[in-house]
Amino acid sequence: MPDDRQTWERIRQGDAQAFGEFYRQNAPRLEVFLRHVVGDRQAAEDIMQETFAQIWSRPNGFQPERGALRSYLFGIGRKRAAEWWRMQVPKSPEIEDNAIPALTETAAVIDDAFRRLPEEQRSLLWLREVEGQSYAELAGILEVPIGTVRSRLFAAREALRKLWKSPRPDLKEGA
Amino acid sequence: MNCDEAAEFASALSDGETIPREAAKHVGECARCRARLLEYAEMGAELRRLSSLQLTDEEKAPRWQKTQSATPNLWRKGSSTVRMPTAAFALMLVAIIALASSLTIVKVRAHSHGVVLMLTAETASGRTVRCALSFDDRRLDSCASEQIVTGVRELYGFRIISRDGDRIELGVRAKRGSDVPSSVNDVDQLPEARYWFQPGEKLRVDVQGSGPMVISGELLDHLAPLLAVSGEQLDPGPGELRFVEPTLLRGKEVLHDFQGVTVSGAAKGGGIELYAPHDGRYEISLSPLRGAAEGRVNGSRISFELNGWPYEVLTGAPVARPGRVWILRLPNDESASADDDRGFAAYVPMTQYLAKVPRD
Repeated sequence: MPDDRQTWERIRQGDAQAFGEFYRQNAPRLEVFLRHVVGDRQAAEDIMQETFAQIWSRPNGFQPERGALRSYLFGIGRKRAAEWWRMQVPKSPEIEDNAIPALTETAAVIDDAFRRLPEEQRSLLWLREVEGQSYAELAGILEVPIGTVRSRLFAAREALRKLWKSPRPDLKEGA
Repeated sequence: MNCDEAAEFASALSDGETIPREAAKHVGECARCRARLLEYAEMGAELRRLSSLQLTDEEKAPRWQKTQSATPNLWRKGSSTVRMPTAAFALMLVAIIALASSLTIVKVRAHSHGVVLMLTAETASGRTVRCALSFDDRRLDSCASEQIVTGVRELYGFRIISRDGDRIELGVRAKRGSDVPSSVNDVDQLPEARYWFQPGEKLRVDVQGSGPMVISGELLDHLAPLLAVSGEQLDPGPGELRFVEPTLLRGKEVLHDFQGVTVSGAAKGGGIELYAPHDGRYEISLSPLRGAAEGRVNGSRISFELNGWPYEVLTGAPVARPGRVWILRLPNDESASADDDRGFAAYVPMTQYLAKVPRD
């Protein structure tokens, strides 16, 4: 299996087969991540596609010594998602209800709490907990020192934990 | 250490990090902190479960294959950066094509398998459009050109679709008329016709609103720079500014090497713009510009000083006849992309920068 350097070199040289493989391996996970960041299925797919299109049309900026190619991909996706948020008309941060089957009660509550976190905290927690990005990779993606990653992750976890443990004010018993 | 102080370390623990001894001791002995640690672990597990439920085997059709090549992007960047009327912007397209060629030269030299189609289109209105299209570099596999001929707009776009031996499948968009899109950025709005084309032969293509266009081309093993120079004399003509493969230096630092780029012009009120990525635009004119520094022309070298820094533009041939030029530096603003390292050079109108010159 080619390593990141080999894959990147092939992408830089316009190898559509290599890029297609890179797309197949990463597009679904990137899209799910973006869905949680922007809270809109269609926007998430658009941003995912734009992220790949950007790398394909302008293959520059990836530095293997600074992290994995997948981290680079998610970093671009995350930036594009942040741009998408900036362009939205100010409104409630409520994001669309993507019904997910087979959620336990705990998972449903955490899912609800997670949706109510700020965009940056959602991104950070997802990249760490689901995508398994290291502190160093997160520092690269967020362009902050590693120490800041640790403190922001803690803040995000605490925010999620508090939302999880406290009942949602707009949900009444039996509603 | 108390629970509040240990909380951040509990978070780090759940990430697989090691933590200070004192914090580890507290978390090990404190029921509240251990409960928090378990909650963190549970939240992580539920998020991963959530992700697993949402991941499907359904493969979304990739759109990246339809991505525009970088050549139109360069135009788009240029048109948005240069801030000039579209018609004026059109005047500099040939120079930009020349720049695109220069970018590929580096690549083709580095990868000798690269092959280039040097395409020439003779339009019914007597204009010639030249494009260097690379098979090797998808960023340079298309080009577009906009021209105003006798007050009527013409828009042309060419791209390589595929190749079968010596035969090349070419996508052509062409139209002349008042309803032609007003920018090369919009060339995709024109319908595309596909042709199989063999270099060395001539391809006749009907153009909406105009007579037929004749396309010819040759295959090259490298991407030669397109010259936007009128005439073949080494000595610049009267009023002409000519930059052949310029290099822009500040002190001993190379701000940008415009390798392979040749740009020239002699229109009244025009000048040469050099765009150095990560730095800004340099407007260079034979006439005084407002707020500009005066530079000295010495053959193929221009020397000037800005903000206490000595600058030089070195070129491969004499720059101009007079001994003086004016250089206005327009630094990049925040919108400039940090990871875009493509420069460009073009002959552009500079009337908006011209200083009023008192009559002698």
